[in-house]
Amino acid sequence: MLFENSHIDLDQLPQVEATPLQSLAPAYPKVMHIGNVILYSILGLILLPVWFKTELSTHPLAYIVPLIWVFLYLSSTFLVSWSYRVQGYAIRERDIIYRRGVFFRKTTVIPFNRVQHCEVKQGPVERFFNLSSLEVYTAGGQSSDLRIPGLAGDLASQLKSFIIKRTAAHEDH
Amino acid sequence: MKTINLAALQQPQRQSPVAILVILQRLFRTLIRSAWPLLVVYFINPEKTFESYLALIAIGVVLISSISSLITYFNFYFYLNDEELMIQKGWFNKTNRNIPFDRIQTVNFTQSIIHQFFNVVSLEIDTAGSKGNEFSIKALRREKAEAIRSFILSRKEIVASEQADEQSDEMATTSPVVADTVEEELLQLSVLDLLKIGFSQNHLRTIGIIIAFLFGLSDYIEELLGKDIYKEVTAFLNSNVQTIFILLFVFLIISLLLTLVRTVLQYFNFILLKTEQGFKIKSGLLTRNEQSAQIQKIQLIQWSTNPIKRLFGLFSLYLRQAASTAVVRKQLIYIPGCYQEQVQTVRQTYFPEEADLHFTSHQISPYIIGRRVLYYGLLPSLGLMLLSLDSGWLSLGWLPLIPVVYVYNWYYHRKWFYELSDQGLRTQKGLIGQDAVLLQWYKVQSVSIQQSIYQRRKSLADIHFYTAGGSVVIPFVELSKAQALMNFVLYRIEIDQRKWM
Repeated sequence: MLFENSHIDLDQLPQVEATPLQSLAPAYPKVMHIGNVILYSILGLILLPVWFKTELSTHPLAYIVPLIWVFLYLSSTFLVSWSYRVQGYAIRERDIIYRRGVFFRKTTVIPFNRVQHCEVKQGPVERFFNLSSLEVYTAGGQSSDLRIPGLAGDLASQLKSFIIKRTAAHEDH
Repeated sequence: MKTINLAALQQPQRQSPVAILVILQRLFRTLIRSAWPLLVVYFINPEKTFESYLALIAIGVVLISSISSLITYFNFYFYLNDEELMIQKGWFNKTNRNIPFDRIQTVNFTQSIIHQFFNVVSLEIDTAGSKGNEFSIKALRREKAEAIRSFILSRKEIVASEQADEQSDEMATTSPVVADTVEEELLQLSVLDLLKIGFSQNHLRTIGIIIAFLFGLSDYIEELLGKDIYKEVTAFLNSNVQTIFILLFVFLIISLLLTLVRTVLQYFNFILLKTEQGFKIKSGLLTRNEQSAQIQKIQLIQWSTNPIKRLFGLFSLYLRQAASTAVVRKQLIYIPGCYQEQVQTVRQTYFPEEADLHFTSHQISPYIIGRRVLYYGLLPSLGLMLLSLDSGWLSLGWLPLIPVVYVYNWYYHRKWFYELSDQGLRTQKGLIGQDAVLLQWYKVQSVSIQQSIYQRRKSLADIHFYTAGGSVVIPFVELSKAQALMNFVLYRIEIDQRKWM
């Protein structure tokens, strides 16, 4: 029993955990993959001169370095599909839910009457796939702000308009 | 208290001329802060050619700073109208800035020694916004600053009630501004109180600062003593363990004394006042600060104690206000030491309903012991063992750390509990020191539930409540309980019409 003397029946309250979540756009994993390729290419490019210019290549255990690089790249690639399966969002009547995270799973809920402002962002790779991200800001600090990536076409702007309307309707701060 | 006519504040005007001195002092401080190593080296190893160079540079710097402070002063104007504070500044680059009152979060006063000598204050304004905009009027006569502050705070209330009261046709009449008159003194810390508080502060940190300082200066010390003497001293220290212990003891005493001095200076004549709008705190000797916290803006309350503080019956009290993340430190109203009575008053002011509510008490999952033993016992002892591998079998001496940490955390878990009510939350944790938090649900901005892989397997979760003054975490709660609590708090936020700020 969570509360006593409560006049609210807890079982009647809407449940975050029972809310079906929308997946991100199917093209989004491609964006993540491309991001990985870019990141690891840059890492590799940085490593190359270090490898050749310093005495690193002569060290007996030197082969570990490229092995680690390959291992990290392969794990990031594998994690993309897992991460995509976890990521999901839902719009309810009074709040927005977002879940993410493979190792550390985090479900964040922001009530509309606590939204400070929203932004729609689009990086160059996202633009290529016609995707954008929705950022929802609260007064609660960076850890409580949401960033929902991989929204297809107009969806992010539509969500933003919807949320702004709901926020204005509550006339809070 | 003298009342200032509103009309006088509505004309563009300059600050008090003391501002020139303040600007100068600030410039000097920055210069000295960046140049002091040069000065120290110069005094140790003077070279004649260097001397004339330094003299020229010094004169040039003084001239330029004086002229620049004069220019800044003469080109700075401010005035008020019904809704905003207007600032005009700059000679080369003219800037016009308006700060709407409803974007102003807090208005505080600060006084350096110069300010105190001339009885002026620096008015510091913090605005809402993630960029953390801070703004200050560097020197104003106290009456004027208080008039401005009262006006801004009262206009904010009027604007807020105008927005809420759509039906009303009454317009707020602008009346002559009056400074806060109703103030109740809740607490005044004497030097003896401050000594007690200084005694109970964290001494390890001061020791850390002293050691870092000495290491930073080690090169200069070497130059000062000369290489041979320096070598002898370090060799001597290395060989005489007894001396080292004596030195450590001396260090501790010095750090204790420094902490005491620092506490007394920083919180000299600390006064906590209760006003109509909330609380006011005045403290400090060399720099006198005056901070105010409106009741509405307080997001949550924290109080803590440790064995030494408990001896004296003292608590540290934190009032966390709504803040943009960049200025968090200033928005934290910190009372270094107060008694149970003041804690109760603050709690009652922030959360009047608390006393009448029914709170149910809950414990967190004992699995937290596992996590804490991992982070504070297993990993550190493994690390320490690896580091001391060359001592051979002795390195195993770090292993007993693990059961010690386990026992400590077993008791730590027993002392961690949280209390839930319809309107708010209380948490209490800590074994040696104890920290408590009081939070009203309607102050929460968003809620999240987080699980590590380990927690997922055990159906446990950490639940986070984010507010504009910081977040509160309850770790290792049963997942179903965390979910039910999240649903309930969201419900409370979504139906509550009250403004959280």
